[in-house]
Amino acid sequence: MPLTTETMILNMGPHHPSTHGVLRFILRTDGEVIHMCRPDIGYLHRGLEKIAEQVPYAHFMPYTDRLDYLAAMNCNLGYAITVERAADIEVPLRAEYIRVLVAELNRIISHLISVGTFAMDMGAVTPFTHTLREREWVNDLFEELCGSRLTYNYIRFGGVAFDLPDGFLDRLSRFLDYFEPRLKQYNRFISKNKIFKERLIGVAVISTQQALDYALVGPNLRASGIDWDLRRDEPYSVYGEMEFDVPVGGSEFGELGDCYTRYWVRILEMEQSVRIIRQCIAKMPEGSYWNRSKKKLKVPAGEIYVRTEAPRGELGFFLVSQGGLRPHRLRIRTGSFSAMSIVEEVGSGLMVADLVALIASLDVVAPEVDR
Amino acid sequence: MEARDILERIKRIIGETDLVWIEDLPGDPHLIIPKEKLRRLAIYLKGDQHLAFDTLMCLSGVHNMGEQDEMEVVYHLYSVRHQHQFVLKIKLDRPAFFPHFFLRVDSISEIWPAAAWMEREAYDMFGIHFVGHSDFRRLLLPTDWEGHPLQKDYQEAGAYRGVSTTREEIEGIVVEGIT
Amino acid sequence: MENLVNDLFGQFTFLQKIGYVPTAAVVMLACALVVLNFFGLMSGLYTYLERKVAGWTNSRRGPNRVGPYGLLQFMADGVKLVLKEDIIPAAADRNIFKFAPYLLLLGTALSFVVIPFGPKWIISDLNIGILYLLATGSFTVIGLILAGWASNNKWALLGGMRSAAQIVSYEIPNALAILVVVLAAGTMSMQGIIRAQAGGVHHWFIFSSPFSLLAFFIYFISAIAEINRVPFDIPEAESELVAGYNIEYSAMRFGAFFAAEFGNIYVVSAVAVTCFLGGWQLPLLDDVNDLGPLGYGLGSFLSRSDVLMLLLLAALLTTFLAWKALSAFVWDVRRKRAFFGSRFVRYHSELLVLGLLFAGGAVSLALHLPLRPHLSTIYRLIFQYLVPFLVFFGKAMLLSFVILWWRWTLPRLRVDQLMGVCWKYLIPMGFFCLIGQGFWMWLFS
Repeated sequence: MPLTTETMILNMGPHHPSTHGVLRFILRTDGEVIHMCRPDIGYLHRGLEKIAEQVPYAHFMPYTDRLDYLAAMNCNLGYAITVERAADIEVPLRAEYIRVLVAELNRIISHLISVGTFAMDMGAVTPFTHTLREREWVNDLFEELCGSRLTYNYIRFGGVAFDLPDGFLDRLSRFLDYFEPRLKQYNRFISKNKIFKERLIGVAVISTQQALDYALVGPNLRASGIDWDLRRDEPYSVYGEMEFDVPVGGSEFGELGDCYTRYWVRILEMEQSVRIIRQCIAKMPEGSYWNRSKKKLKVPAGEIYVRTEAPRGELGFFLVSQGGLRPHRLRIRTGSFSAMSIVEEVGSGLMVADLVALIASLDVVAPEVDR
Repeated sequence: MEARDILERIKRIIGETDLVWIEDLPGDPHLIIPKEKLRRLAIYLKGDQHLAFDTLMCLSGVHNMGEQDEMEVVYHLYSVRHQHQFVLKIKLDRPAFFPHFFLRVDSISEIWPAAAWMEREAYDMFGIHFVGHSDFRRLLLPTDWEGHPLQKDYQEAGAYRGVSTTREEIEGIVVEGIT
Repeated sequence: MENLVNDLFGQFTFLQKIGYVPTAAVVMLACALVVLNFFGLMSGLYTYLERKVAGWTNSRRGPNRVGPYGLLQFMADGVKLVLKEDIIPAAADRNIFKFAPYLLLLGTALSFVVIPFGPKWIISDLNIGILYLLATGSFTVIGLILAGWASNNKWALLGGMRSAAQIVSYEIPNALAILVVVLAAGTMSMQGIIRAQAGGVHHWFIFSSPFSLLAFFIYFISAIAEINRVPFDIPEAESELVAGYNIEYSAMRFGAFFAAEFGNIYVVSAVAVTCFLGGWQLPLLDDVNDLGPLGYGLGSFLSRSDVLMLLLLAALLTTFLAWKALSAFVWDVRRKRAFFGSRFVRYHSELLVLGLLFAGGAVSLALHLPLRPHLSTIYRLIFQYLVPFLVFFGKAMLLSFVILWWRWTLPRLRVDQLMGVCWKYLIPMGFFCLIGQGFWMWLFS
């Protein structure tokens, strides 16, 4: 009698160690091989877009912290720039530099988490604790700057909430001096590890065309070989005055668009962020840090779509104003959302362990997917 | 290419009738097109060598309840190859009776796969149906959720599966309305 | 064939008055007790060590609250595990679910029968000792599959399937590497293998030929795979299968899985030490039994009265240290400090250890005085029993440390890569070693 085999429906999540928050995947597997992978999102849906319609413009700023809790500064920045462009608010130069500085610092710690959890998903726990150790330092710096360690609520329309404290830039430079060699240490430690590379090179390849089709953004898009970075190509704030390279995936890291390239692009981006921060420190002008207005903010009627480069790629705010104190509609378009939407396409045919690698390499953060 | 040049090209393809070009408002200029022309235009916008809109940056639903009750679907297109962007908009009437019958647009998820989830989200939040979508379900909310929360006249049900959704019900906590 | 019962029966005449069978029964029971306790203690020690090693690599501290340096943490954990509710899922196959962890534990405990602790310390030196070890090792896979199946959880099932594929595959290179040793030693008995490595470090099998060196690495890698440690921990792969086969287990059944896993680390290290690192042999001595005369020498040295005077001085020092510790203790008691938060434990734990050492010295001094005529015999026994045990244990702990260290350093392989490593590399290399070792022995002997 021949033995019958059948596929198995496997429920991965919503609380699974490697789904980074609460994501759920419904897998149809044949043993270990995934035939169908269907993401089920919405477990962290807090209705941010609805909340935005209910509160005044400035009151929504703390909510953007919660949009992507690993990169609160970047979310703050994106939202602030959107409203500033819509309401035509001037930002002092010092504030612009501070903004770029904190955004890049936040990019570093966000990528640190990404890289660390990636290694942890591959079974190596130690890199995660080491990256967290570095992150603690930056958290301390941010705490000094704005009083909080995770949800900063630091950037305001027309500037930033607080000026840099005395000696902040020196302490920041000390961190950067410490951090740069650490980055090389990580490479020796995990990036160049044979098993790590075996696990990731050539796995879950996202082709250039797929990346464009699914509107992948940020490091994921660049890993697929598209030389595209909003900071360079559509400079906002003072990015136009900064000198930095945009790391793009290529054959030197592995296959184009595979998990390893996505990982490696993030490592390289951290180096570039350090460069940008150093330039910010060198050029930091004196002057006002907040062009503060006493009036209640009213945004003239109109529609504007502004995107900025957050650690997880483009963070777009589509603001529809009808001239009131509150937005008529605020659509938030995030990098993790499109990254999640490609999982169904790329995920089938992988093994369960590869799916974990794929999710980790896309650097999906659940609250950003669900908003 | 500038938005005006793109507009000229579009006019050549789908004709000038029923097109509304808005550029005097602050913000991005955009083109309002009738919904019947969407699919044809989308195929052209993606396929044309000079336009080559290869990514759909954003697809948003908007609900206006001013003098008339209408929904908008806004498409933000971008071409990585040529580095230009364009905004398309579709307006849908939302009559009081059988609104779901009128809130229908052609799906563009085959042209830009990124639209697949965004359309599902727009359906989830606004109740706009996208015809021709291969896997059309709610995205964020549970399948048995009632209503579409981002509609301006959305009334939240007091409970979902026996669990209260309002904070006022919790004893001792008073939530003041935000002004 | 050597075993403990026969040994003791031969050595102590009063046992012959009791009779062989009762003696055997008592000795066997005592052995079981000792082994189980040793096993439990080792598992506990390994959990502590694992967390400490994790702390060192992860740039954090590891356990440091319960007891001095957190040494009693494992006891607290054990108590916690025993006290927790034992949950059995409603849809689980109850009987198998309950039985599976003990099968695993049984496999590990049985291994201790043939693991030597010294030249004479072995429960039973079976003539097929190493073969027996391979057999007991296979209990693990049955236990894991049963656990995975009985849990009625798909993740557990996947874990069980993975472990079946992995352990069965890795037994082959494991056995091949051991065959190389058997070929070199000409015996399968554990003590025989160790005795075959007598004569200094170059006689240890790891260094005796290039093929057995390779075999050592094959053995070590496949053994790590067999006990599911990183980089081969795919049956429990935390980030993929949540917890693998033990996902539904809680309380002491979960503890049993862990006890077995950590006990297995010792078993594997002990086998590697036996087969490749000369067992209880000291590096520069021909035979550890040569230490016997040293014991005689030390014994007669210690029985001299001037030496005894020195020991007396040491006892005085002990009193002083004990006084310091005691005063700290009194300080605590007066202020009603809890024991573990006390000054005594916090500031004088080194003192406590030293004090204990010296107290031991003082006790032994007290023992020395009446035992002066027997000191030579006692020291000979110490050198014959305790020193080899410490040597063996030290080597095993060194290897265990490597296993723990890798656990916190390396990423995990994927299932197919894991199989690839086994079938494509380790098994051909194992055969190559076996044939090579044969040629080597034919050429050089």
